[in-house]
Amino acid sequence: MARRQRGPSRSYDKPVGYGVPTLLAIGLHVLVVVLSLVTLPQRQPADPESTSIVQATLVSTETTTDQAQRAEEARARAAARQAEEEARQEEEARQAEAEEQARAEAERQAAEERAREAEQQQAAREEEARRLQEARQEAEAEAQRRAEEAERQARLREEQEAERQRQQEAAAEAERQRQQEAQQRAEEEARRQREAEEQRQREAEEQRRREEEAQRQREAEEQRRREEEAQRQREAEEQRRREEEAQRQREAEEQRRREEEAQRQREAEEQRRREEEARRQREAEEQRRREEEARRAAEAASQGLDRAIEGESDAVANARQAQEAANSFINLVRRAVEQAWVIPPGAGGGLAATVQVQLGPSGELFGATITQSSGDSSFDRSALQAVEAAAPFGELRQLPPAAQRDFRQFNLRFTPGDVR
Amino acid sequence: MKALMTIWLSAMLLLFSSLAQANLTIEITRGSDRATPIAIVPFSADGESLPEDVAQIISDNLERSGYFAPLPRNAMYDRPTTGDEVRYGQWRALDVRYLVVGQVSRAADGYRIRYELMDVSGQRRMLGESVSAGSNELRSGAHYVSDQIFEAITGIRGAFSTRIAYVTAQGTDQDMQFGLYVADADGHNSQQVLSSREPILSPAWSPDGRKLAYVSFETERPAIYVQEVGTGQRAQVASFDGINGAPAWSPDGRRLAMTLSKDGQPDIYIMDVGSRNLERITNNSSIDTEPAWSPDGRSLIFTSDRSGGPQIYRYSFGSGQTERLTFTGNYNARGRLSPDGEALFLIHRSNNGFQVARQDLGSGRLVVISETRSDESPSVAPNGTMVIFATQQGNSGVLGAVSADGRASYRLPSARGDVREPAWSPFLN
Repeated sequence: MARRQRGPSRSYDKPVGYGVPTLLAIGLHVLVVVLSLVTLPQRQPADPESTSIVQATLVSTETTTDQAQRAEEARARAAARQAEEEARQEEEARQAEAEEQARAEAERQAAEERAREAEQQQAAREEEARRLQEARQEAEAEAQRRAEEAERQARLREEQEAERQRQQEAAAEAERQRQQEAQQRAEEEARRQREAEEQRQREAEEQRRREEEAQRQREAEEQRRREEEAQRQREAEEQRRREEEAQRQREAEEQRRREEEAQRQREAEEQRRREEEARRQREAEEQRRREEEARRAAEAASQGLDRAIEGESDAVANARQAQEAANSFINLVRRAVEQAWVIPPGAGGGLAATVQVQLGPSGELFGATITQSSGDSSFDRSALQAVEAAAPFGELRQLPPAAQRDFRQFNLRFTPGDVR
Repeated sequence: MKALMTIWLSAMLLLFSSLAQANLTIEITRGSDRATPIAIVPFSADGESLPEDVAQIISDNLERSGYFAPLPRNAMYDRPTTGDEVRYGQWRALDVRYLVVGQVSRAADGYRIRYELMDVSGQRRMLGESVSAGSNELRSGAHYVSDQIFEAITGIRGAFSTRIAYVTAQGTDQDMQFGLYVADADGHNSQQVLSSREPILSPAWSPDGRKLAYVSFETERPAIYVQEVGTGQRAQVASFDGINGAPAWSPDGRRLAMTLSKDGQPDIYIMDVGSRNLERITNNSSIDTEPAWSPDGRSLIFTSDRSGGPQIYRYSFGSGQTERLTFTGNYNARGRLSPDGEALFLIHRSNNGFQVARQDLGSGRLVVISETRSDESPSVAPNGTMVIFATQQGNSGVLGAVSADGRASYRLPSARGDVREPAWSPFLN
């Protein structure tokens, strides 16, 4: 819009540009009108002349024909007269004929002369008319040419003006675009700053949320761990309870057995007492001795069972102790290997590798081999390197001898579940 | 009876314990994400003074990748130069997992670099090679060795021998001078390939690494040019009315995606570089720009504000469908895909400002990976391990790089003036 308003106002600023051509054009037109007025009166009578010229040409042709006819008639009359006065005036007639012929000839020549004159006049008039026409046309062409020249110059100026205007517009457009871009940049910058503030708040919020999440996860983990611990304790308790129950049952069984034995002895005694009433007093001493022996035997049996029971609980305690030692060794190995494991970048995609570890009697590394590859040689090597860097595992010697043998070979499964 | 019982109990105990131990598997789920410790022993040089410290260049390269933590030289008690001289116990004691030893010697037409890579834990040689380098190619020789070591350990092709292109602006308003540069990936060995008094933007490497497409305002209007890096020969390929911007080569190098506004709003077009024929890809009243090809060439990603703010979209050639890829935050722009096509690197407006972020396309999860705040124009290394980008330091633009997982970052040596619009080349060898 601004462009269009600017255009005309610029052309009004410079009226000189149109003034001179306008004056020239008006002058030219006046000149043309005057010329036509001057030439028109001359041409007015010339027009009929022009037609008479055509007629004159025709007349002159007719005249020539008439002359010919008249000459023919004259010749015919002369012939007639010759025929009438042949005898009398043959010589005279010949002379007359010659005169007649000369006259006719002269007449013909005169006629021809007239026709030529008429033709010349006609030609002169035509020439004059043509010159006038040409002059007029030339004047008109000249006027036309000047008008065209004026117009062309006007157009040229107009074009130059328009070109300048276009250039200015292009420059203005470029400038506007540059300014717009600058403004956009400035606005963008302002928006960035504004939004940076908002986003800082959002980030703080996000940070707080993440921390809460992490805290929640930690708590959940802790809770899970506590529950597992509780579960383990419950299981251990249960195990202990079962063992105690077994022991109680065994003791009850023993008690019952002892009571049955006593009962049997009592019955036997009664039997014997009933059957050998007579021999009782006599064999009283013997009887007492036998009873004493039986009692001693029973006591001995009872003591052997107690010892067996004691041995069993010792074994259970030993097993528990061994298990605890094994657990602590496993934890130690895990910690040491995890600390030494440098997970290669880009290994997050569910890679897993298993390494079989062989230890010497003092926990030194005898061998580490990949038994299940991750398919990524870099990852496999990182697992082997972790084992090699974490070895030796000297704590192996602190295990009970049987467990030591068991831990001379074990597997490590590497799965990067918790990086960073 | 007593003895019997004792034997029975012992047998049961043994049985249980051996059953428990036979399948003993300890689960290792925790590890360290620290960089892998490595030692690069200074290479011997037969007493000659060399123009470059090859071992130092290798060490710097490996450290910048974020994957390795080179042992400082003053912690090396022993300086072997061949694998046979290595005493593994010493290096194990330093908790070094890998060891690089080598020598540099003069050869007829330059130098000969011999190097060996040792696995310290496994006590074995993993790699050994002899490399020749021209008299002024010692740096590129060191980059080559770095590539080999990196690949042998990580299984990922090294990108230390690649190059970067970037644009600089020097001077003030009236006397601004813009330059297009090409340098080694570590920022050294820079060469100017174009100079102009008008802005230069968006350099993009052709897939063969021989050409650069870029936008130049040298005719006072933006136009897209293609220039041979080796010869400097160049041609204007797009100069339509309005914007001619953001050229991006197709993986086959035959087409250029670009942003044109000749038909109204900026939209994405594809030009056949040979015939210069244009195909219009997007057509709507919003701004669509910054196209980038997927590695398989089957789709294009681009930035569009059709949903209000800038977000990344993907156009699939097969279906002709466009889908939105980013949903985190209200500003995600200038997307670039990883070489495996599984991750999207972009500029994300976070709480801290404009930062480089990685979005996993499978899960849609977006993670900010840069620590700077006014980041622009991320460009991914051809092996996908690093992202280079432009950022602000004080009042001037500098180049930064960050590992794709955000673990490590570094700043490139500062070139003169304001540096922006970095573009990482494809593999060049």
